[in-house]
Amino acid sequence: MIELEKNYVPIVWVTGATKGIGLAIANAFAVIGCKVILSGRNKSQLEINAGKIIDQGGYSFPLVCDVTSETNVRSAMTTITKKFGAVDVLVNNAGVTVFESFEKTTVKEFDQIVNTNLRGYFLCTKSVITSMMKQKKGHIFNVHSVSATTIFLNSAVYSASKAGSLALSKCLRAEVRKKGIRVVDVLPGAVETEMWDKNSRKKFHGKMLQPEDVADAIVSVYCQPQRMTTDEIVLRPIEGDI
Amino acid sequence: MDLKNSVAIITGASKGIGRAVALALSKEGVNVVLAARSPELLSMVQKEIVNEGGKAISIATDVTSENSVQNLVIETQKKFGAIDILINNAGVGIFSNVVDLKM
Repeated sequence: MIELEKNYVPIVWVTGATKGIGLAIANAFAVIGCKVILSGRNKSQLEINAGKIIDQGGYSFPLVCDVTSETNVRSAMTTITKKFGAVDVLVNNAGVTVFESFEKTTVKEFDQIVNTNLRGYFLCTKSVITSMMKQKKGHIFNVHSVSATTIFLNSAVYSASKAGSLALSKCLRAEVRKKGIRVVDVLPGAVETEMWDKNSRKKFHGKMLQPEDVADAIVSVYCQPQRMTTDEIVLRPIEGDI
Repeated sequence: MDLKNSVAIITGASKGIGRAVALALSKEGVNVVLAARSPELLSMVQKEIVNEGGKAISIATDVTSENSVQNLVIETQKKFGAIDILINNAGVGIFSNVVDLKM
């Protein structure tokens, strides 16, 4: 098992931690001894997830936060600052999509996808970046998707949001890497989560990544020696994209 | 390619690249629909085109607004009956560190 420095308990904030990849990431950071803040929109699910971590001897804190809301993100940050001081690791993971043709995608769906997947990353990053710069350290993991760089049918807005978050992240890394902050882009291929409908999950089961695969990759990069960082993690099922 | 009498909407047509594209299309005989936020700037480009013998209309449009864009399409169809070319050009930018951008 990967171990942390003695007497150092990092504060990790994972967005979209109600299920899927976010939950797996929260669990994985808890296992190595971090204090994990699980945020998302569904309070009762967050409490269940946090409870399970605590039952297994970990430390967790459920925090309701809709990343599309600036007010929500600000108030989440106020709570985190009061309770924990500062965030050492932010995992921008909350994401949504619709699998729909460009023509059928509504303006409302566009706004929801871009506001969560792109604007949400901007807001959460803004809320931690100043204190990370003061501390001269910090990790920001941005979970994008291979669709940031690869074309899939019926995913135009999702791809656009992911290409946007990737570009935002690359610019941010260029600005802060000499200030001790590591910005890591994570681009998973198809992961078996509820983002896919039941039929697809059944059809492609065994040909998809599992949420834990993404979580383990992130935690292993987090635990790399101080002298180095990993700019980008691209993960794909062994047989490639589905 | 013969573009004569086709209809083009150009967003961000009040200045810069959009204006240049509108002028170039007009020289090819295209009926141009100039869209941007500022009616004053649009009418200057429109005058420029009309003075050179081209056909142009201006429709004040904010592309961030769904209603405004719908209005652009409706007005274009009323005037010219079709849209053959769309030039998505309107754009804004701020040159700033990500860190310094306002939340």
